Amino acid sequence: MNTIPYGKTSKQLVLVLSFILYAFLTTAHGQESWRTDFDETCARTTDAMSLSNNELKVLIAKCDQLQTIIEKQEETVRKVFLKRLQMCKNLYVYVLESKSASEKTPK
Amino acid sequence: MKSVLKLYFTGFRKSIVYLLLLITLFICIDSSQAIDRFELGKIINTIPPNGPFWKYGNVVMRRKTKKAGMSPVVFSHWSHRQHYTCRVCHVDLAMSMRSGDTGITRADYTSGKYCGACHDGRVAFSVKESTNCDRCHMKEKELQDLENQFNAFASRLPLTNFGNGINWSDCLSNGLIKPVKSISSANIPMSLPDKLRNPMKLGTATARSDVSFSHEDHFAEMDCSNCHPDIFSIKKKGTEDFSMDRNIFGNFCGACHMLVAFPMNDCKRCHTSMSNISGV
Amino acid sequence: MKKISCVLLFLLIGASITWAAGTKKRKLPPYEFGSVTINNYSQQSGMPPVVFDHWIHRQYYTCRLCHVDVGFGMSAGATKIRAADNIKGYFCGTCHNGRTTHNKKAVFDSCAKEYSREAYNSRCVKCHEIEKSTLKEDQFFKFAQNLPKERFGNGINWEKAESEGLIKPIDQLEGVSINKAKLKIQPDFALKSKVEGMPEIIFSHKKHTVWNGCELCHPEIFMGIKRGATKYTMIELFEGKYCGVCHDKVAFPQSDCQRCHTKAVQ
Repeated sequence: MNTIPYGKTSKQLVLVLSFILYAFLTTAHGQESWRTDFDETCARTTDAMSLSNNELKVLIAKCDQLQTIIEKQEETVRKVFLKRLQMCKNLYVYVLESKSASEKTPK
Repeated sequence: MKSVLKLYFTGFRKSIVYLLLLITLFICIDSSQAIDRFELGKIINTIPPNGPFWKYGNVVMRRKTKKAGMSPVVFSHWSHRQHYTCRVCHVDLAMSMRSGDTGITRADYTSGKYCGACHDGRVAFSVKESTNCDRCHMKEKELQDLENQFNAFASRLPLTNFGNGINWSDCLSNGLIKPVKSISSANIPMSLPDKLRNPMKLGTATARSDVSFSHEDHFAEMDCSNCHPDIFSIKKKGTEDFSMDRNIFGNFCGACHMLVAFPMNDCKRCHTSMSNISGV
Repeated sequence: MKKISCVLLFLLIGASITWAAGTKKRKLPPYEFGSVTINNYSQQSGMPPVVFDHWIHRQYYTCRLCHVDVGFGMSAGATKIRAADNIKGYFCGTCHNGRTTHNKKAVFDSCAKEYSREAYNSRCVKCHEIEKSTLKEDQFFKFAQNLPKERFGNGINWEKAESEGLIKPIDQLEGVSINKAKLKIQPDFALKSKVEGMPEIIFSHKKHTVWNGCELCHPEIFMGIKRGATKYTMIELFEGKYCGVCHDKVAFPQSDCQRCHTKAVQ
C-alpha cells in the first residue's frame, strides 16, 4: 500500500472538500432560513384581523420576497409552498382591503 | 390461408368493437329517459282506466327477493300515504324515489332502517316475526286481501277516474286523511315561505293549456329537497326540454305523476282550463 | 381506433346525462358520501384511480390541516398529486410514510418507485382501489354506530360528534404546521333570505373555525369584504360555488335546508 505523501495535493483536496462542505451547509442553512421565514410570515393568519395596516403591508411584502425564493426550489416543494404562501398572502391582502374599505366608509 | 384468417380476425374484431359501440348507443338512448318505452307501456296498461284502482302506485320489488327464494315484495303506496306524508319515507327514512335504488336488504330492515323504522311490532307489524313474511312478500291470498282492504278503504273517499280512483289532495284538504308529517321530533319540517303560497301560472303554447302549479299542495306532502335541485333546478328558465313527452317518460313531474301521484292522463288537474270529458 | 371509440363513448354518456335532466340523482349511500376519485396520472401509469374517503380522515384530522398545511386543493384532481410527491414526503406522503404513528400504529407507506407483487396487493391497492370492498363498508358502519345520527350525507352529525368530544380531530402536525396564536373567533351573523318567509340563515363562524382556518375560505371562496354586500343565490350554491364548495360534497348536503335556515320567521 502506498502511503500518501502529505503534500500539496492533499492540501488542495482538503480545501476543495471544505468548500463543498461549506456550500452544502449554506444551502442547507438557506433552506432552513426560508422555511423559518415562511413560518414566521404565515403565522399571523389567525390574528390577521387585529393587525394594523402597516403590519399587514410588511407581511405582504415579505410574502412577495418569499415567493421569489420558493420559485427557485425543487418542483414538489415549489408546488406545496407556493400554494400555502398564496393562501396566506391572499388573506393578508383581503384583510387589508376590508380594513381600508371600512375606514373609508365609517359607520 | 393464414393471411385470410388474420384478415378475418381483424375484421371480426373490428365488427365486435362496432357492435359494442352500437349496444352502448342503445343503452344510452334507453337510459336517456327515466323510464323506457317498454316500462311505460306496462304502466299505461295498468293505470286506470286500463287497470284497477288498487294496483296503482304499487311497487313490486323482486331484485333481491328472487335470489332469497321469497315472493316479491308488493309495496302499496295507497296504504301508507293515508297515514304518512311522502317526506316521512322519502326524506327522513332515506328511501329513494326510484325502485331498486335504495338497495334495501334484510339486514337493513331488521336493524330498524327503512321499513323497519315503523314495522317494529309497535307502530306496525314487526319485520322480525317469521309469521309476518307473507304480509310484504305477498302471494295470491295476500294480494286478494290487499284488494279487499283497498275497496273497504276507498269506499268512503271522493272518487276520481284516475290513479287510485281517490282524489288524495281533496282528502287531505277535507281532513278525510291526516297523514303524519314527521315521525321524529328531531325532524320537524319547515313551514312554507309566504312567497310560495300562491299558485304559479306556467305558460304553455296556448292559453288553454296553461298550467297552475301549487307549491303549497306539494309542500303539504314533501320537502324542498324532494324536487330541488335535482328534478327542478331552481333557475329561471333553467328547466330545458320541459315537454309533455319527457314528462310522460318519467322526467320532471313524471317522477311522481305517473307512478304514485295522479297520473298525467288526468289532464285537467294541472291544465286547469282543459277538460277531461270529450266534447265539452 | 380505441381513441375514437373512447371519444364516442364519452359523447354518448354526456348526451345521456343531458337527456336525463329532470330526474332524481342517485343518493349516495352514507359510506360513499364525500369519497373522491383521483385520476390525474394513475391510469396512465398502470394503476387504478385513487379513491379517497373523507370520513376516514376527518375523524382524526381537521379540514385545515390537509387543505392548508399539507396543501391539498379543494376540488378533485386540482392538486395533481404525483407518486413522486408522495415519495418525497409531501401530500399523502406527509403522513403516509410508514414512519408517522397514529394511535401508536405506523401509518402505512404510500407510493414507492418499485414494488413487488406482494406490495402491490397489500399496499398500493389500499388507495388505488381495484374493486369496492365490503370491508370498508363494514368499517364505516362500525365507526358510525356510536356517533350522533343525521339524515343526510354520511348519516353522521360531524358537528355534534366533535362538540360532544366523540371525535377529536388534530389540527397541528409537527414539522408541517406553523405554530400560530389561537384563532379569535368571529361572531355569528344572520343572512336574510331573498324568498319572503324563508327562515334566515344563521352563519356560525364558530362552528366553521373548529375545522377550518380563515385562509381556507377567505378570500378564495368568500371574497366579499362587507357583510351582506355580496348576494348569494341558491342556484350558485347548488352549482358548487360558495357554501357549495364543501356542502354537498363533503360537509352535510344543502338539501338539509334547516341546518342553515334556522332562524324562525318573525
